[in-house]
Amino acid sequence: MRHIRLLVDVLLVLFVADTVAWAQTAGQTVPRTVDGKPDLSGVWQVLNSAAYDIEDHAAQAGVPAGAGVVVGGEIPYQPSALAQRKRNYENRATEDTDAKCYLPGVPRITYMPYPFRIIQTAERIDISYEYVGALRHIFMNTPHPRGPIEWWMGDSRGRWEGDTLVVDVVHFNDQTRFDKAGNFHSELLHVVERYSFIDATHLNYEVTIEDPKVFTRPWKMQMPLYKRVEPAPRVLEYYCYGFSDVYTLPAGR
Amino acid sequence: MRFSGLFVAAGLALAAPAPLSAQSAATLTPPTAEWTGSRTSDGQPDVHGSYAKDWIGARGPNFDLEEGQDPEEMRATGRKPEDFPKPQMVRTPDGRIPYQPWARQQRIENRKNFFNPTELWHLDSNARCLPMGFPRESLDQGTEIIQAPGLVFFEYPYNSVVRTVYLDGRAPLNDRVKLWYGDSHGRWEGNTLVVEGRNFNEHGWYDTYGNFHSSDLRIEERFTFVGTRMYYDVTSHDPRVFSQPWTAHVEFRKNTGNVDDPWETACFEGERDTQHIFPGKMPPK
Repeated sequence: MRHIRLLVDVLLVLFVADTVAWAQTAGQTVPRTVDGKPDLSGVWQVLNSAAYDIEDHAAQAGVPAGAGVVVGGEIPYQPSALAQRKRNYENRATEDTDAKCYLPGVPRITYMPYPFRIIQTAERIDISYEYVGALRHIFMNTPHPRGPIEWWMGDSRGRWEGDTLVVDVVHFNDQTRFDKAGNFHSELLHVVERYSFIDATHLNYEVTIEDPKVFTRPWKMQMPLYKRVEPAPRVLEYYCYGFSDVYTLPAGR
Repeated sequence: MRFSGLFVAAGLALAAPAPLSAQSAATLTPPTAEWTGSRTSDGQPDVHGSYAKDWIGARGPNFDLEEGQDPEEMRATGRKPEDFPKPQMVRTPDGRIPYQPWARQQRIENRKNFFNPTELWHLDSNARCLPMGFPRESLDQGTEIIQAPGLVFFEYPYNSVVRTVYLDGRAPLNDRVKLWYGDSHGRWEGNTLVVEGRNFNEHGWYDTYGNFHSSDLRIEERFTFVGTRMYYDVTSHDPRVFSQPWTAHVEFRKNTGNVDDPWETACFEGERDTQHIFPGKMPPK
């Protein structure tokens, strides 16, 4: 019995608390660069409802129901942080970055419902997002600049661990949130993203979140990224401000 | 970090002696030639790297494309044409944009409004942290070029945006889709990247001074690479606004030393607090 119980615990750790090892599709070749690294170049997008709420949630007006992307189901908030999350939820229509069209931070920008293009070179991997025209630089094999620095999108430093791109991101401000449901972090946020191919057109995207001011322990998100496979995919523009009070030519011109 | 480097480059550039051919409208770009340098995996001339604006048009973000050419501005400011760097960016005989008469009036009004704003839209988009639009962005500070098979990316560090030029022959966007940065399709002719751009919206100006275009704007750009120099010519066609097409010219120098990391520049989120930038002039929004 004791052994069975231990086995159950191990399974829980492997399959509930931790991310799932999605099987690679046999026979599919992962695209590679000339130097043999996995080639992430292309246009990608998520298919989930994490932009509304990264935890499991029921439908409400303007929000589809959704299975969350938090591994293990719940975010381990410190008790004192729950009141802030509640306030964030209540003021989301005016105070969330998405209401203001501000840069949304990392990893939120990944799972907003807009495409992004990965531009991969040996020294740097850039990601150009349709949402507010955000551009993110992932500097490879270099250290973070010394902080404290507070940026909307943080400072991203990448490295390859085998075929997985690991991106360490720090130097955030405390103004961005994880979703429209009020889930949040402080300026001490530390994000580690892992991008690895499941097959030629799907990436496994895993994120570890650490923030000693807000959470009791590190926790993870996991979701697939889907490659846009139409012949000529584009990342267009969504500057969500600037639709009123902008310069336009006089009527009749 | 790179941003400050560009300002330094611009400052040095202004100190350089003015070239002699100041009032000529002739092209300043050497003729297109064979590309003899290395090539990318898909056969493009390899021109990737960081480029800072060099002596011509090195005025930074708050410039006037027609600078030193507008009689009204001369009267208003007391400055003379010789106070401005030469040669002129607008490559017409008088250095002025060939507006239709109504459009010249509109340009004057835009400029007056910008310096005495009473409405948010009186401000140029960049002053409000809206996108700069095009071709203003390419006439401004400088750019970093990244190449991928069938694609050329121009990253503009000042506003932290990417403009994508498609070389893959894909179909253009429908005219209904209007963008701040347009839809750009290019081809290489020897050492020159030729780009045709359209689908622009009309919210972005050419500069802070109210030089403008309509959403019918079409541009042809020529990026000519010679040694470490990039010559840039952009010809604007807009039959609603201009009486004839006209070309602007600026030049860039490739940064061959170490380039600092392009750090975040987050002006880019729609400034809504302009009543504090222009105290007493703006209605509270």
